[in-house]
Amino acid sequence: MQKAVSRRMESLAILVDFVREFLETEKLSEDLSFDIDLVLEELFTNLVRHGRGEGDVEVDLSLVDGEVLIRLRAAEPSPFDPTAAPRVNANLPMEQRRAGGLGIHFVRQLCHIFRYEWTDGVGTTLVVMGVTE
Amino acid sequence: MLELRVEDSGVVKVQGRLDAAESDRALATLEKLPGPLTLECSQLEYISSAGISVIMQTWKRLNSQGSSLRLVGLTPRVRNVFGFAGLDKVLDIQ
Repeated sequence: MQKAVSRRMESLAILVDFVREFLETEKLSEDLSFDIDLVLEELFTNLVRHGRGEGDVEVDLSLVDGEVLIRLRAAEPSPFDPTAAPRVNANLPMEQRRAGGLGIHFVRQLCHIFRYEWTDGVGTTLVVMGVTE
Repeated sequence: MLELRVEDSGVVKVQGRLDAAESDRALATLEKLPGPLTLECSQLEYISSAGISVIMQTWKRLNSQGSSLRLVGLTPRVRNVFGFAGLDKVLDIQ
């Protein structure tokens, strides 16, 4: 299933509805929505906050061999690779932590495949997460 | 949609979704409140890194004032997100 949304935080509500539509179509439990919402929000907001491109973001959700694939495609003038984001040290005491930077950390925690490619001005992020109900 | 209901004795009931669309509003509300604070989270359905950032900023502000932040009633899924961040070990979560 595919949905194009504009690059703004208000699009998150559309993505929440889109995830529920996907789960219903694939006859998957709504209990799965939390993790899918989280991965999708983190990838999308990363693009909104830090991406340099303009125009809609295309989001594709699919179920393949019992796993959920999430693909985001967006025009970017140069590669904007979320897989290159620095690793977060989740063992630091609070005093040494900075607020922010955890989004891609969550994606890495929840997805066993996390890839990015940039071709002809379009960046594509692909993640794959297992389905556990 | 997120709702923050400020009750007596420093308790804030957090209901709904604390995501990137709501995080600025949540921080603006919490910034006005003196410590110590308790966030009652049994009706918090969802939290993302943007929401975690609000919690961390609130903790840092209160800690710098010699006060404290406590979170209670988290659902297992919300608590998992704190665990991913390693915050379940360093925040006061009950």
